Amino acid sequence: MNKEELIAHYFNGQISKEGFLQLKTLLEEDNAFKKDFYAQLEVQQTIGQEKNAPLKERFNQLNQKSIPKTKWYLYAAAITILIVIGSFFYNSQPDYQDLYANNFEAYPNVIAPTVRGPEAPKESKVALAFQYYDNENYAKAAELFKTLYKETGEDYAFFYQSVSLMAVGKTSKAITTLEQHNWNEPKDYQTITQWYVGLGYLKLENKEKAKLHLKNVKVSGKPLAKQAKEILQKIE
Amino acid sequence: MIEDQYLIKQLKQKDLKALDKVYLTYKEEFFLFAKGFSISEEDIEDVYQETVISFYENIQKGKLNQLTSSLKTYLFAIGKFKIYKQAKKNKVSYEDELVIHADEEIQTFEIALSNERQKVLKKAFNSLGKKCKKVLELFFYEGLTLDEIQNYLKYSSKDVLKSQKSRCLKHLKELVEKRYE
Repeated sequence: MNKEELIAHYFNGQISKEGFLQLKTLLEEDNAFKKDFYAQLEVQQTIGQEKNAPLKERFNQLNQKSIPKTKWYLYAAAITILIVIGSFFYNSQPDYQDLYANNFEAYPNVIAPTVRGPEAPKESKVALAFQYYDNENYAKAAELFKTLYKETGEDYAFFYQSVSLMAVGKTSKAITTLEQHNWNEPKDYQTITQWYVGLGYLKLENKEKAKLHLKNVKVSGKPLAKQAKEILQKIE
Repeated sequence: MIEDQYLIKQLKQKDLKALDKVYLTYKEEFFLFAKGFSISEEDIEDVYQETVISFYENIQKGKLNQLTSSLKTYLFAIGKFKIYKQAKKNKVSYEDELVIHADEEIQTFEIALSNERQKVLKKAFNSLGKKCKKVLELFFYEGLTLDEIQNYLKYSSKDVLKSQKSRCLKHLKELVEKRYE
């Protein structure tokens, strides 16, 4: 079997045991072939990632449905007890504003680190927007990100615009912006936008909506999951 | 085993409820299993989802027509491979030369792509023409043979299709390289 046939058989899933071993040996011995095959695996995995995003989403939703089965009752029981005990001492709702203030933090600038000193690059709009952002001048930053998004269509511009709005206290507006954008592609922003929308609703004291979004963060397995879980426990 | 065969039959017909069942049934055990390796809890969820998806793809491609072991054994064989890959990815820097992970048991080759690289590839792929995308998808993702693709997309000959495919790959490569310049 020649190289081309081997590759074809591999990708349609019908390669024999011998064929597989032959391919493996070739990869060890023939560097040019390996490079070529590597590039093809890259293509395969890239297409796979794209095509399988809906399935991953499906699994994440399954997680949401299935977690309550095992743990929800325990938490609910524990929290009920706490609330009952707590209500003897004082009768109050969780303080949403406090929770928000303790958890909200403008997302770090991971796009264009501000460079200081004589070697600072020529000021582009991106750099300028992030300079405002890093200096906590969020109102100005929001404006610049907005124009930047209009010009480039880059997701990050849209995202940082929304976070800037939230940081200056324009919560409802930030939520609407975040919600109207489709964050399914690329996936990088999926969890983090859920997080900010959830926090926004917390600030607006819309408990149900806050819960909905924070739960998505909780099951995401991402670093923020723990923080989301803690908030959820406090407002349940 | 009989139940396994039934599930596989359902999966072959793209019954996603059956896939949910597989996903939920083995999740807990998989997490316990994966915790023995040096990968973070966040990564385990990712790896598990990818494992179930690969499993599903392999069934679609007919790689599993005759199940010689139980469904679970096969699923975990895929999972183990992915865990190893992930554990190594955490240790090795991407700049190291091209590493192709291979597993004879499940007859799979995979590479560890950095997020950065994945993004570039995705952008490049999406800027290919419609026809190129289709050919590459059918070949690499759907696992169709060249004959099947020729038939499906009505190419006049297999050679025309072959050269189209290599042109598409070449174009993709150029697009990727351009983004690194």
